[in-house]
Amino acid sequence: MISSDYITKLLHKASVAPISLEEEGHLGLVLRIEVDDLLATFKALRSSFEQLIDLLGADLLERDNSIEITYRLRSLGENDDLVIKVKLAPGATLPSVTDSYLSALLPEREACEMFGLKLSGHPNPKYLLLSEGIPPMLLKSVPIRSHEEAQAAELPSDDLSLQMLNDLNERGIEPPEDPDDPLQNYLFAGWLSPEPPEGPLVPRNIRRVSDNPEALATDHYLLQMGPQHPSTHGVLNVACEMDGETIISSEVHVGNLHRGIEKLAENRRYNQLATLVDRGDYVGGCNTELAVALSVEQLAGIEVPERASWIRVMMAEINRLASHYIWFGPSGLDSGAMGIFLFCLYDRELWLDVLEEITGQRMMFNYVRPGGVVADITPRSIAMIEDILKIADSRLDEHYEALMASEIYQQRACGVGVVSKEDALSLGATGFVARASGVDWDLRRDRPYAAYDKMDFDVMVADTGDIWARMVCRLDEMRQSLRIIRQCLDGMPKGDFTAKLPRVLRVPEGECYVPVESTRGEMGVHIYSDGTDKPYRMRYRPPTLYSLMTADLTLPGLFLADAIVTLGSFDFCFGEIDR
Amino acid sequence: MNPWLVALLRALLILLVMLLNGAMAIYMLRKVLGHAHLRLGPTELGPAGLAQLLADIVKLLVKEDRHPNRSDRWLYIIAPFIVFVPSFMTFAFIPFSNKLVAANPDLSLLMMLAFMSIPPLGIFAAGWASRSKFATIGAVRAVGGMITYEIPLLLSALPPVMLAGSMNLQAIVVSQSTSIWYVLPCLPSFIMFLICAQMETSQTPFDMTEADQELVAGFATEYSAMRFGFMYLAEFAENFVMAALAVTLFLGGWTLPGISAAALGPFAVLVFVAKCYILIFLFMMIRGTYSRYRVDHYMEVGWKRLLPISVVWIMVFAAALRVIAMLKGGA
Repeated sequence: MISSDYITKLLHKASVAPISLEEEGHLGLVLRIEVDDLLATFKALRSSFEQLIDLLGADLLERDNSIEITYRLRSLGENDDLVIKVKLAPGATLPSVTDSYLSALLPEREACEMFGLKLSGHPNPKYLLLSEGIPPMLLKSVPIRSHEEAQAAELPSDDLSLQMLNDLNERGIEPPEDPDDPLQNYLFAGWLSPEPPEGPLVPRNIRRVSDNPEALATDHYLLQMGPQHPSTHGVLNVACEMDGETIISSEVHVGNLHRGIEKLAENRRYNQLATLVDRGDYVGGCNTELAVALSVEQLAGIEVPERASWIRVMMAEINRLASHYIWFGPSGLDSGAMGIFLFCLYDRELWLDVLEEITGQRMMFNYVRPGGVVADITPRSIAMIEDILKIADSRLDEHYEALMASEIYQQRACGVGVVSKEDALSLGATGFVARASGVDWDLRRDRPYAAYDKMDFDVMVADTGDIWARMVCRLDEMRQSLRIIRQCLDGMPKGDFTAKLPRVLRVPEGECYVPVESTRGEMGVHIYSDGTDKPYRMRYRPPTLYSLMTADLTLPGLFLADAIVTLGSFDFCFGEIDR
Repeated sequence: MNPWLVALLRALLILLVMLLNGAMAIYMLRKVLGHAHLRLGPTELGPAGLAQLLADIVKLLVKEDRHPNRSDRWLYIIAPFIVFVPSFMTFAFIPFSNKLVAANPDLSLLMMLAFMSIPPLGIFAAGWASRSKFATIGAVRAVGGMITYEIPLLLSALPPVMLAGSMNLQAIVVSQSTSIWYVLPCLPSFIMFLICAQMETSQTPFDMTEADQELVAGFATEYSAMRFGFMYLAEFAENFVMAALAVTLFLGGWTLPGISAAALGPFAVLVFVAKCYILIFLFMMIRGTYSRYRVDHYMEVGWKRLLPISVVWIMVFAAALRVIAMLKGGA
């Protein structure tokens, strides 16, 4: 535990005067500071807290005419979190903390565009999920509109090339030589900062010549990978500056799958939230549902029956397996091995059948709800699981043989796409990405939720941080999942599968954050409750948004072919990144 | 008979063989890969999904043939034929049996390899003319690949020539029927030839030019309809030609050990085709199993492994031949 005295001492050394520093309900220790002190505070706390876990905004204009930005710092050694809150006037400028924590790179952009703030000191302050001209949609004053209503209101066109030309006109820049070239559109996608920075990360017309004296004196060119590229695993767009086949610099662009889940959540009752997060991480639904359920239960003080917790753990692990299969197979496919892809789909089908038997759905389960789960497990589903468990371990060995034992694959995976431990920490990587880089951290073990404290499993940590390490870590995770499922079947307690709850669940006023170890890392749900039956604000921490930054950092210097395998090894889920 | 008519008939026959091979190879690829992947391949149209082929050809024929806006129009149009025609011509030199060979010049092996080296130029033209970055990368890889595998390919085809004392494919087959299949004395050459054949036909693990996962569809990214179909027909033709060449040089061509050409009679063609498809089956299994080499590893395999090994092996082989001949002469 990190004591408040220690933090006070640190702040005093940096001559920062906090507004308050005290335990606040479910949030734990909360430090409230002035915006002007933000950078100094982060600098002072950097050495004690390794990770900036998440950053979110909330519209408190009605309460005290401010936008509240919440940062969550984590010390892994002490296993403790510190919440930092600052309040900004509407439309004010948020200083970027990227100098202290790189993991703020993308979330800061998101928070600012969603709440109409400006961003200063950020290396690339562009819109992240929205297009320029879309109103800051998480403000309470911005209503949810249908497509027809939005058209009637004549919102600015979503057409990027039009925006590009408008932007050029406004900034008095000559149009590019090649106005048809869609490759340049993104460069003018709109700035969040008060003044646009001097040079974007990838220059407008690349005419750079390689610095390397041994290389051919060729111009660099811009290669847009995605969003329709077959191997970016979703609607990711990576703008790569290429020298021949080598990537010199890269920039990721997301937001093509943005559906405003967080905005929609403010108009759903608490027991309806699961449908929304299912459509976020659409392959690991049970885990995200669990995070929502746990956070609502924590706020409402609901006692969950023992059996429900065990069922939740079992379902989370079955879903983890199903999700990992759809990652392991395509990881092989990225390197050109077609067989392993279909072998893994075969295994995934087995688990999907189990999920279908229990929840009635193959993907959007809507199964884990506040209070427990929707339906009890049936004897037939237990028989199905036992049948699969008989072959699952040896099938995993076969998958290893089919892909990872191949020397060609080892050439492709070993020592490629290396993420150092420092980078993994500062970029907020969690889950297997962090564990593959030597960060010994697993929420299931270090902060057990549901019934994980009664399970016996190991956490694999590798130290090389390359693609191979990530593959090995996750393959072991799959074995551990099988172990946990076996324990669940053996020790499943008797009792109710759900608690008795009123039909309309009203949650007392408060705020909480509950993370779970989802299939891709730390998936956390931060809920502001105002005492009604709907959340005032729901923030959903997408683990792959942070691993996306990590991936972006590893791309420069790689071959195009390696970049594909590297991106695949991070297992992005764009439903979750774009929300 | 009019010699022109004969030549025309021969050409048509070759075209028929090539088309049949294309159809056969597509069906086989789907079924072999399907079963290798725990699935079934086409099953719905016709018996065992055979009519799927017709459906595919009809689909290719009726699809829109589109051109990228600022492509190099003429090069874009003729590139598929630069790929298609030479692979078609190589069929002329394949000895299907002791009588069935469309053209039988003295240097038929050399002619065949010469024609085989033209398609990469067509691939480069296609990629270049498409004016797409992915296609251009694929095109550049095709040229880089060609200079990588061409020399080891030629060198690994030489030992059978030394043994037979002829560059005529028919003569090489005949001399194998009187001695042994050359795969035994030239096993390293055979293995190298198979690797180079995989590179030449650009199949996984050496499919640098297409590399779906990296380059979308490589040089063929912008092609559609029958132009796309022609490129793939040419690829399957090359597959067959490389298998046929391996069979001819190393596996006794249309002969079977212990059975004379007269006894084999018309079955010689079947023997030859069966041998070819067994090799193609092997290629397809490799294609369905392995990962792809990275482009620099591919170059390494070519320049740092295959080239030195094939040069040294040729020298050792030639010296050994000479020594054996001297010993025989001495005795």
